[in-house]
Amino acid sequence: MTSKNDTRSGGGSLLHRLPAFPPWGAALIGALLVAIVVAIGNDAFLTSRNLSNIFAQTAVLAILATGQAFVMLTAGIDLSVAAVAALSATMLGVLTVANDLPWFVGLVVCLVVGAAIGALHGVLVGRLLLPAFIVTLGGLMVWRGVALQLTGGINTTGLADPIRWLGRGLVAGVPVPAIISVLVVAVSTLVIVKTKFGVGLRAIGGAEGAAARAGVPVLRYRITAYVICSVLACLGGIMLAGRLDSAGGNLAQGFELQVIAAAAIGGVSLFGGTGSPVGAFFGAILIGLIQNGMNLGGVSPFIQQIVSGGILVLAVGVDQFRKYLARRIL
Amino acid sequence: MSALNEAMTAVPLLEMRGVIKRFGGVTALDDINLRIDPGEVVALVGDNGAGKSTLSKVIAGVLQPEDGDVLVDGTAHKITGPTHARSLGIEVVYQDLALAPNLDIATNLFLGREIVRRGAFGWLNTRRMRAEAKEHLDSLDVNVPSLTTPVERLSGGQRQAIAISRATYGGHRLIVMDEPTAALGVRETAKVEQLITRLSERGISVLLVSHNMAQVKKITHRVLVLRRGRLVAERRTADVSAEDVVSLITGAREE
Repeated sequence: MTSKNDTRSGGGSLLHRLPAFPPWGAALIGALLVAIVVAIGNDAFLTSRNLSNIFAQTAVLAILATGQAFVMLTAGIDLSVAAVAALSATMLGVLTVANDLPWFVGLVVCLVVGAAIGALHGVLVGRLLLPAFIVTLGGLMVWRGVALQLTGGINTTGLADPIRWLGRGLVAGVPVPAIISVLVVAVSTLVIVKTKFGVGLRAIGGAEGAAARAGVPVLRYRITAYVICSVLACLGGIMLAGRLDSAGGNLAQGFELQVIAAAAIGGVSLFGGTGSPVGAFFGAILIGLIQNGMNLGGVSPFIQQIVSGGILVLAVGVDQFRKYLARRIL
Repeated sequence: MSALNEAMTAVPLLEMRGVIKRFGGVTALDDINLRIDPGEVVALVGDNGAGKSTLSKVIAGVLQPEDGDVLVDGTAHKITGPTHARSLGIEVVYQDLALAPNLDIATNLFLGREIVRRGAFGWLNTRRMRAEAKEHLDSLDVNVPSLTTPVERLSGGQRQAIAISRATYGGHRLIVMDEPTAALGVRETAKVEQLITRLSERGISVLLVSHNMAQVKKITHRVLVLRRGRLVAERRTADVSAEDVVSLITGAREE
């Protein structure tokens, strides 16, 4: 590693090739390793029922982490996603069950409210220059409070069939939430990699001043990122409520930390500028696999928490090491 | 000034007549008259606080003068902002380069003016941008490892070359550079100087803010000396020594 020339040929040890891996490589390899270990250790893992369970459960995590990736790319953070998901689910329950509105009207209203919440976050961060951490921490408390207040903390059940289908339906044996999450991730990745908006977001996260001077509409793009994040949080919340057939202010408590962990494990940088929804997706899958494996193995929830925390730090550490190598070698 | 009059036949690319810029009670630019011809490399020198950045910013459209005229191609313009200046063919390379380190070279070259396919989604035409980026960098003899390399992996000189190439892309005819080699080593400085000379050969004018007298002697055609907001001297580079320029800057020698 002392000479700069011995890596030109592209061959060399695995260590030398590491920088060429995409940032989500660690999450993908981690997920495969965990899957192999769990599959060897437990016969129940490789059953189609268990696998489709994992995808159904991680779908919502992947969708929220994808939204989070948009915000994190701009060097921001959205701590309010789980609260917004809960608010949206609660509103859907109130509108469609308590007030008998058609399910699609409720769905559209919820997504529009989500967009408005995201726009508010975006304006507070981008225009009033309040720290994203504070704005969305406040949002976390406010939106969950609003959700609890709406029904007095009572959960609504008996959601419309199409809503439940979003959370637990099957198409040709494949869980609907898994299909939705793959679509969301695929479209989001294309947006970030292949559009002017995506380049602008990455430029804002990499060097905001440079982006502004180059003519990137920084404020508009930043607000859009928060809008996308909140709308996807609403979608995820509705799917989660559909799966549980229960919508209330307590939905997805503390879930925001798993969402941010999934994105970070998938190589989406907290400092902005790098990462993609594909990474967030693999991060979510890795978390889902680990939880599933430990559940199957009868590991206590306390130990599960310790392991999840360790893996978060490990994954981000691997990514930092990769970047360090990239700087040294290339 | 008789030698300079010979060149005054053609229409200058940029001309300033009696430009005044004040900040509160301080006159930062006092009655500035200058001209820059197509393909000319003009050095702007002066001590700290002499008004070099203020003058660059007025040309770039970042600041608006209180009085006087700025003429581009012989027509007076009230330059309202950097975008307006850009549309007139004037671009600035700032000291901090204004590149996004996490994005690759081609993406940086087209940042804010990406080539998109038809339709409302801003769908990038990556292939065309890469092809045009390659063509543009080749035409300026700028060597980079690969267009998909993130800018953060480039050396300081390569980054400077990318920033300058970026500024010249899209038909800009006057590039204002603020100490482009201040942070560079000897070899990299030489490369950037060659690049500036090539721009000049292609008819692109450069206003070079520099503290490096050897550099001023080597690559510029004319030297403008600012002192306390006034343009105190204008010389053909060939007619002065580096020591002369220094004494003009400090005021040890008057007109």
